[in-house]
Amino acid sequence: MLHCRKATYLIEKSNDAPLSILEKAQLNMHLTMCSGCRNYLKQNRFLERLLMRHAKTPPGPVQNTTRLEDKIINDLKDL
Amino acid sequence: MAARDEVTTWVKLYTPDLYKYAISKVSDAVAAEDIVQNTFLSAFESFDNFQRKSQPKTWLFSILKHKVADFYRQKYKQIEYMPVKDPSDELFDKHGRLKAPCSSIEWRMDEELLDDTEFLEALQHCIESLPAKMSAVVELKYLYETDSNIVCENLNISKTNFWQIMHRAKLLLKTCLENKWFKQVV
Repeated sequence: MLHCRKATYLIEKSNDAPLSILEKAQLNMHLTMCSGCRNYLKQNRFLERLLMRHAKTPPGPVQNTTRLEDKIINDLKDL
Repeated sequence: MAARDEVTTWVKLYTPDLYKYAISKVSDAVAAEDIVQNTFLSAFESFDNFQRKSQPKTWLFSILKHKVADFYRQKYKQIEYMPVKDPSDELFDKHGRLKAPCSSIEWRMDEELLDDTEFLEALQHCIESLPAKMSAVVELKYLYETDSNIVCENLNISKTNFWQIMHRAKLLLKTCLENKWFKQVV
């Protein structure tokens, strides 16, 4: 019988790779009996979507880069 | 000197775009500035390799992307005093079962949350408060490159190692978000 630690690991793995038949069976068996991990599965999938989405969020207004440009041009002079 | 003049012109033309890209990938203003600066210095040093077949901007971006990946590699390699116990261990009892508070909090997973600035700030805070090695993996995977094979290649870790790190990172993110958000808004 799988414990939550392994079950949550398999949930994570399944975001990235197909589980083996055995792993799938073990996970499903665990999920039917454990409401905590069923809850975690939903949270994990939500987190996954959130992080994917987060990556695509455009950054806030970009600061003026004049100071950075001057600094780089200065450094180039010294090379 | 021609190379210097030309690179100087590029600095004026392309710094805003390069910076915008860098800050969106590393979400750290100081690091983003360093990365852009190093990009131009590398461009100057390898100016002779610049193939005029491609646009300067394209060439600069290819250098920039390498610098961003380097940033995460360095961050991952940082020597870190690993705590004796992994902080995510505390979520399980000695039999490997999820402890009660961890398994029982229900999240209000509204679609609007994905666009809620305050919530996304809480998420960003939680990513940054992960142990440095873990946040490097999470950021490289989600901010920089979504293909886990490339993440593993970049950090020189195995797939199993990657899943283990992500497993722990997600558990910590879950706890952090519950404390910062889901427990507050009931």
